[in-house]
Amino acid sequence: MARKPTTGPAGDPELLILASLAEGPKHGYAIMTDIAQFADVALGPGTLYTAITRLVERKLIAPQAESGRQRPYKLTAQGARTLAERLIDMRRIATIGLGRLRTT
Amino acid sequence: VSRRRNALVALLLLTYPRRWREEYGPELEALLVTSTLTPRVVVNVLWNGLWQRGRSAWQAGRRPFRRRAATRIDPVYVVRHRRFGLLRRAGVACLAMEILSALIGGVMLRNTSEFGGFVPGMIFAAAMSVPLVMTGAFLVFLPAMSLARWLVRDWSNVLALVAGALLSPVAFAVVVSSSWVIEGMAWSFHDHWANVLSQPRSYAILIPVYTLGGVIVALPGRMDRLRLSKRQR
Repeated sequence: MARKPTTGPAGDPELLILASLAEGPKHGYAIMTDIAQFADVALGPGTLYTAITRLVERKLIAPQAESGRQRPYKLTAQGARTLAERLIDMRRIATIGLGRLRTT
Repeated sequence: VSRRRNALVALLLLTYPRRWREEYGPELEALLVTSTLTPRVVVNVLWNGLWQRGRSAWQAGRRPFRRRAATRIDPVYVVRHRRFGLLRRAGVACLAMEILSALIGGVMLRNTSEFGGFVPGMIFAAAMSVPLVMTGAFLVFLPAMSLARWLVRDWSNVLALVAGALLSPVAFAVVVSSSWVIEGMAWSFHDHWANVLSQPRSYAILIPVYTLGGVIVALPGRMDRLRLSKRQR
């Protein structure tokens, strides 16, 4: 069952949305269900759109032409770069942390 | 059930600011209509709506200092903005500022031991502080703030601004010097001012003129916008 976002990457809706859109353009509902599947996190509709607003303002994602009432969003080049940087950072920290845990 | 659900969704959307609703409202509405509205979802949307309101208010507060300061100090300045939301918000803030200024002015004047040869009382202090704030806002603050923006663009703007700025103090002087406004004809300086401000007739003259001044001041900005929107069309 999908859980409530807590701390870490699962508690960062913006990162989760960027990761979801890395696969291709999606509208709000599709992003929400995708995140529930790959991260096991249930984002509320309010949280989702607050994060989308922030990402659009920072030009990390961009709205596309509307299909019905739902408007798909796609990752911008800047968004892809930001996502890659953050994931690489997280991987580096995870590797170091796990390594240190093994030595203790 | 569906009607009640739609009403609830519409209510939830109202917690978001208008500008946000125009941009994202239909999408969020479509999402809410297709989702199960559990209490958790309702609280989530409510909380985020209020968050967005706070956020947009904070962003509005980051506008250039000149405009922000003007909207806090002079209610007439906000007439130039056609958006009701801004007018309302700024109006409430202005009113609070004007009341505060009047109170501070009143206390300061009351504590002055000598003022024109007599010890001023509270009525006199309040009576003096109101026109001082009004005139100060009209004559000094508003033109200074607005000239910087309009001067280089159009001289007719400046003329309209000056006309608007002069109207209020002129009207005030007319009211003060007209004996027919003041009942009882108490002509000592203290009583004279106190009388003027205690007569409803004074306000019947001052408020429309003050508003007219605001409209004249607001007109150039409004005309600029109309010209701009015509050109864009």
